Amino acid sequence: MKINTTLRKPQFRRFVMLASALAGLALASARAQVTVEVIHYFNVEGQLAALSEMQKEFEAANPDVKMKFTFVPFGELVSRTLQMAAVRKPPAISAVDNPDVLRVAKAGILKDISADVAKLKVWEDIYAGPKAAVSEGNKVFGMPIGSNSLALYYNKKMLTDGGVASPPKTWAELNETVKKTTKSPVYGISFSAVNDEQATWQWEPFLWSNGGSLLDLGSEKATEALQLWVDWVKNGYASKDVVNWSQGDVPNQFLGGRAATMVMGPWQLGNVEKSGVDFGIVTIPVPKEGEKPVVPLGGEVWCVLKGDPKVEEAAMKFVAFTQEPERLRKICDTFNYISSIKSVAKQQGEAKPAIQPFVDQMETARARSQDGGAKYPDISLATRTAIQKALTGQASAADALKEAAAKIKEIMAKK
Amino acid sequence: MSAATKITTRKLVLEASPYLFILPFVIFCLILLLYPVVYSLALSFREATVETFVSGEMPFNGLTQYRTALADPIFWRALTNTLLFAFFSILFQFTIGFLLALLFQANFPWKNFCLAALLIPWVSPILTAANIFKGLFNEVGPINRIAEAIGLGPFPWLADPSYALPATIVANIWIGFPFNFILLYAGMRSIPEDVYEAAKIDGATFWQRVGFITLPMLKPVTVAVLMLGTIYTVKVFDIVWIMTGGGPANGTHLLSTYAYQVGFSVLNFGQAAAIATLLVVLVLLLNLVQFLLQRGR
Amino acid sequence: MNVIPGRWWLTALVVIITAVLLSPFYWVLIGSFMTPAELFGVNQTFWPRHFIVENWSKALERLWPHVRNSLIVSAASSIGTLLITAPAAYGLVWKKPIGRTALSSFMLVTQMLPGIVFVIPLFIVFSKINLVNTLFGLILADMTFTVPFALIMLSAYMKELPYELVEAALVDGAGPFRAFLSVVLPITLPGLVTVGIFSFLMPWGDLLFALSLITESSLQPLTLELYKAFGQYGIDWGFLLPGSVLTAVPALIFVILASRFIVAGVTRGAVK
Repeated sequence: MKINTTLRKPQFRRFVMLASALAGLALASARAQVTVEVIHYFNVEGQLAALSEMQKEFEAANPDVKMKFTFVPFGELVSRTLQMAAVRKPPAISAVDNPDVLRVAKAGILKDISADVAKLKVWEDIYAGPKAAVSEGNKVFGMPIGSNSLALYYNKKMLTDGGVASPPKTWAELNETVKKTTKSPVYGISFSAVNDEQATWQWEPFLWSNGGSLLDLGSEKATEALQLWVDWVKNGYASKDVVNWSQGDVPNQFLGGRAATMVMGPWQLGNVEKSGVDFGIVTIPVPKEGEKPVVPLGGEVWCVLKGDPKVEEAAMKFVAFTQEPERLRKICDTFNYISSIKSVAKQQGEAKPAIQPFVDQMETARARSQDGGAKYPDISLATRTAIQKALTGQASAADALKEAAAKIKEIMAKK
Repeated sequence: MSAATKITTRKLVLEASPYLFILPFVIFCLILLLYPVVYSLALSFREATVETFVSGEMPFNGLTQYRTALADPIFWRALTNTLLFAFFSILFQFTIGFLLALLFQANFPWKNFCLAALLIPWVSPILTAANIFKGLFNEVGPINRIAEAIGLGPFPWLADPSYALPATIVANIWIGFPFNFILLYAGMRSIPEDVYEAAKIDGATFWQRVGFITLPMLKPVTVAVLMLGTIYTVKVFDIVWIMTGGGPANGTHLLSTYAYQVGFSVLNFGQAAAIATLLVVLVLLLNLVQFLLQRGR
Repeated sequence: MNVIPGRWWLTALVVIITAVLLSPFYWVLIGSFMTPAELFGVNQTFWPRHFIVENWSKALERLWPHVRNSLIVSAASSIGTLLITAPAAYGLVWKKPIGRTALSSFMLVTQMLPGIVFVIPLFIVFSKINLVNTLFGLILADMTFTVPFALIMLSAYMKELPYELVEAALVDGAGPFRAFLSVVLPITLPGLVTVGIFSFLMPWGDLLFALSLITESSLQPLTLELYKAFGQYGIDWGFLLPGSVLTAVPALIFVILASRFIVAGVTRGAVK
């Protein structure tokens, strides 16, 4: 029959071989490399080492994906993300600081990953605070990498020398402590009130623990919280220079023996341990006995950007990869985070008792963007202007806050 | 080709020669520099915030952002600060630079080395220089320690706007004097020796020589240095941003730092562009004033 | 160089002035050997108590790969700028072609633009023409600043030129280009070298353009690497201080070598 003879002809066989070879090539190029670019601002050696380890492990498990980590200076990350999106060459992932997530989401460039995170085991176990930072209604715009917050570090020797029996738990005790430990050249307390987000961030524990809110700065509670700071500076328990100290300067004071206590996060624990200072950490003192401290949430978020669906998929795979519990634990330890996942955080606290205060605070920690959503950065700006005005004596705490409150009302009124 | 055509072609080439070198680059500059200028100008008339920037929409809103800027008390504070900053910086930078340039006209051992050494403030990365002064003006930094030692009590340098601005001016003077020094020095070097010799023979004193020979012959260079100095000083950003961040309480903002804060902390690119444009207008006005003063002489 | 005996008093005076003017830098030097705690601590001394040399070795290790990038960008900018602007400045001043005021004004205006105006548009333009993350792109961007500067300054130096010398050379039969090379260049050498030095130093210290255009770590110039000392946790003084000195050193060496050309003066007699 004609068909049989055709099938046996050598030319036909060659044709089949060629066709299958071409098909194979086509298939191979369809599985070609996808590059996932992650922009971030991590620059501490340990963090960078952790990132490259993540890269190696992930690429080994996913040979068709190539990871690229690009460093962008801290202050430039958000604007760089926006610019890259504007020229239609967005990165796959941007490690955004959590208070900025909702603002970046407003630009419409972040992928809603609510469906994907629902598939992650750890999502059910996440603390309320970090969850709120990345959610808007039913949408989820990122997966927290880890969290941190603020607590009170204290110099044991200076406290005992000052006649303070135990570390302060309430505002009254804190004021006592600060007063008794101030002995030139030592200040009772050091914190950061510099003219950027850090001032608001450092003040929020006091504002929120007192029941205040950034959206209602005219209230008594807000004034009380700011007056606390103002009194410290006025009475010389805190240096006037706090308005110029960033969170990098504050540890220098504490470790250099110029401050008895400092408001600081877990990322400095390593340095403090190395320094040889006999220290302790307690949760942020609360206004009245028995109340719970409410601290702001720090920490970065993996935000997947809208773009090529293949890249989005690979990016989401990477995010899921980092959330596998053991790996997550390792990442949080290297990055000085308290994990946003309850079970992992608990493990961290057990392994290292010094950070237990931070873990405890995670229960009541609050996402900054809960006060104003995408408008948080503007609100923060108005707030810190008030803080600085009050601290430098240019206005009373009440007046400065009233001014800020009016400005914030304006901001919230805009669409 | 006839001899006449040869000469005309030659003349044409000669006439065109300055342009031959620079025209290609001018075209490139036009594209590369005009685009940001036009872009920035366009941005200042549009609402360009996080929401609208990426999508490219950026609705046109006319002069709103200019009106907002001019009604903003911080804007006026920044403007005053900028003028004060520029005036005192240039005054001292130029004077110190000029005196040093004069001093270095003589020959002496180690001259080369000292010349280069005096460039260090300008050569050091600005980040460093700004942080040096941030550290020096620290509450417990060296400057206060010296002040205390001579009985002048510690000053709240960076914690108080009225002290912080002078502190930034001092830092800027330190960074900028070498620029004036070297450029003026090179200018003085090109004045031929015999002119001075002749004057010396005529009995002119050192300062008379400076007044009647150096200054007039140096005029083009002086004008250029002052003009550029003004422009650069008004643009200064890093020094103030690092030393005070514009604070405390927005008290030490220059127009440049305020524009940056509005643009990159608040992410209102349109408003920032408006402030930046007003800054350029200010510079243009200052230069116009300088130009007219110089013409008048 | 002539060393005139008896001028040591002048040297002494200059050394004292230099020391006073450079005193802030002393803080950098001693600080680079200290830990941050000691730097800001209670018992500050004018001499470090322990010498932490690791600060320096670590800084050197981090910065060394980037020296090459900074050198390439600065040298290319400087040479390119001089090649383009020197003849142009000469021509503009002495040939007075039409449109020169427009050109000079344009150059001046470009100098007035504050950096913030460039950040976003530069990124957008260079992204579109694919010059982001290339040293060539960075050189071009830097030159958009150094060329106008050079044109303004060189025009000023050229105006100082005693034109009779050029005319004399032309009368002697030299072509205009020859006159340029043999008369104009030597006399304006101090100005040329100075402008060349600044055209080298400006890209060397530039942060803005590098920040906007280069994200590839291997292509980053020194300033960008140094900028990493400003982390989210505060300033890494242990890197910033020695890093600053190291960043300044190559530039200083260049200046010292080049300065002998500025120091040399010219007398009319010598030219004759």
